[in-house]
Amino acid sequence: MQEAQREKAADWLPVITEFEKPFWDSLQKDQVLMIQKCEDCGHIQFPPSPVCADCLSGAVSWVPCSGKARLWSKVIFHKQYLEPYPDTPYSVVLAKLEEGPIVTGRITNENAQKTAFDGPVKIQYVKTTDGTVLVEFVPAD
Amino acid sequence: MGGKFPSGVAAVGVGDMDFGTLYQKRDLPGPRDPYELAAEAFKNALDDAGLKKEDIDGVLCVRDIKKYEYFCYKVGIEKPRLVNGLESSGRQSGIALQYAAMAIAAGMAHTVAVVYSNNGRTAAFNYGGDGDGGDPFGILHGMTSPGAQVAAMFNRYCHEFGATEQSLAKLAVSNRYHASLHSHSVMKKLFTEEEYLQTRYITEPLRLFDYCLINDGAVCIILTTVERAKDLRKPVVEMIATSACGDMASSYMKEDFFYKGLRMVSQDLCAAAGVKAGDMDCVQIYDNFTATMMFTMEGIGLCDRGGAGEYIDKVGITLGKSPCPINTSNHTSETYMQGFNHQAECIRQLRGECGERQIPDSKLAMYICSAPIISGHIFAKR
Repeated sequence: MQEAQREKAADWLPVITEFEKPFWDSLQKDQVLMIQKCEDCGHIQFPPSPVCADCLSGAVSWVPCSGKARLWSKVIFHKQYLEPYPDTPYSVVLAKLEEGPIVTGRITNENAQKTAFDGPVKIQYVKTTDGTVLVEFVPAD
Repeated sequence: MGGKFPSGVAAVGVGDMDFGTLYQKRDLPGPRDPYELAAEAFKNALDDAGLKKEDIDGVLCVRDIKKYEYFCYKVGIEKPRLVNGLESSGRQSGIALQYAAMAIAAGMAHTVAVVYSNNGRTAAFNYGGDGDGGDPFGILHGMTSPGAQVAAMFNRYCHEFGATEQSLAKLAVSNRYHASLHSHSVMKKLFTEEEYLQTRYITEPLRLFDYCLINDGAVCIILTTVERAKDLRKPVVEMIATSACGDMASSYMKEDFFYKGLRMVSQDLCAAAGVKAGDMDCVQIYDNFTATMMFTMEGIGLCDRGGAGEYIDKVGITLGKSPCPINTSNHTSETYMQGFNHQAECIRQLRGECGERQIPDSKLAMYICSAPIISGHIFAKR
C-alpha cells in the first residue's frame, strides 16, 4: 500500500478550532508543517498552543519548520488499530526537528530499517486519495 | 513535599473476585454489568474488613462505574460525606487511594471505599483503537495508544542504554510465574524466554506478552484510620507515605521515560517513610507493558539509570530468588485491574495472606505507577 492510497485518512483529522486553523491550512493546502515561535522570548513549540508555554506571551507566531530532523525513535505496527492503516506491518517515526520538538510522521518500512537512531531525516509531504496531506520523513544526507 | 503524609491512615478491607473464571466466560451476548462486578468487590471488601456498609461514609468510584450516584443507590449508601468518580485511565488507581487518604487524614470522611470496576473485555473496549493516549497529529500518521508510545520509548531506551528484548522476556516470564501462584489469575500457563521470543509483535519492539491483559473484574479497597483499624478483622496495614506528580506533555511519550517525575515521587515516598527503595520487601509496579517496569525500577532508585537489565539479571525480580520480588501481582498475566490489583497485593503481602506467593516476613511494600500522573505509596505492617 502506498501512502497515496490511504483512504479515509481525513476521518482522523481532529476537529479543527479557529485557533488551530492556520496550522492545518498550512499543512493541508500549502504542504508546510508550521511550528510556533514566541516573539517575546524566542521559545519554539509544537504541537501548537495559544500562548507561549515558556513565558505565557500571547505573541506567538506560526513559522515553517526547516524540515530537517533526526530519528528519535520508531515503531513497527503489526496490529491494525486505525482504519486508514490496514497495511501491517507499517512503520511510524518520531523525528526530532532541528528546532527541538518531536514530530510523529510516516516513514516507509525500508527507510525506518536503514535509518539509525539520531540519523538525519527530512520532511516530505504525501497526499492520500482523499486529499489529506501527511508528513513523511525520508533519509537526508 | 516530602512531609509526613498521610498520618494514621490504614487499608482495612480488600475485595476482588475470581478473574480467571470471569475471563473463561468472556463470550457473552452482551457486556457484563460493571455495577454488578463492583457490588461483589464491595461486599467482599466489607467482609474482609469486618465492616458493615453503614460504616462507610466515603465512596470513590473509578472507571466503568462513573455514575457514582447510581453505584451508591445500588448498594444502599444514601448520605456519604465524600463521594465522587474518577476517569477510566489506570493512573487514577493510586490517585484514588491518595484522595481517600487525604479525606480521612483531613477528617472529611472516616471510612472510605474506593471501588474500581472494569467490563472492558465483554464491552469490547478497543484500547488504542480510538487513538486513546495519542496526540491528534500522531494518530493521523498511524501512531496510536500508550502501547505504541511505550514501544517507541523502549526502542529509544535500548539505543541509549544498550537494553535488549531479553530483559522484557525475563519480566514477562516472571510475571507469568507469579500469576501461576494466584488461584484467581487469568493466565497461568508458564512459558520460557525462548517461547516469549517466538510470540508475535504487536507494536515492535513490544510483543503480545509485553501487553497487559484485557479482562473484566472489580476491586474494592477500604481505608480508615489506624485507630479504627485496630478494632477490625485483619492485621493493621498503614499507608505510611503517598505522593504523586504530573508528567505533562503533548502525548504519552516522555523523552526521559518518566525518570524525573519518578525520582520526585519516590524521593517523597522514601523521605516520608524514612526508607530506601531497596528496603522494600516487594515492589508492585504498574505494568501496562513490561518495558514500563524497567523505566520504573530506575526511576524509583532500585538501580541506576539504564541499569534495570543488569538488576534483573544480577539481583533478580522473582519470588524465591530476589530479596525484593517485583510484581507478585501484575497486569500482563494475572489481571488487568489497572493498579488496583497491585495495591491489593501490597496489603495482602503485608498481612501474610498470599499463600504460595507469600514473601516471608513482609513489612514494607511499595506501589508505583508511571503514567502522565505518576503516583505511589508505601504500606507498612503495624
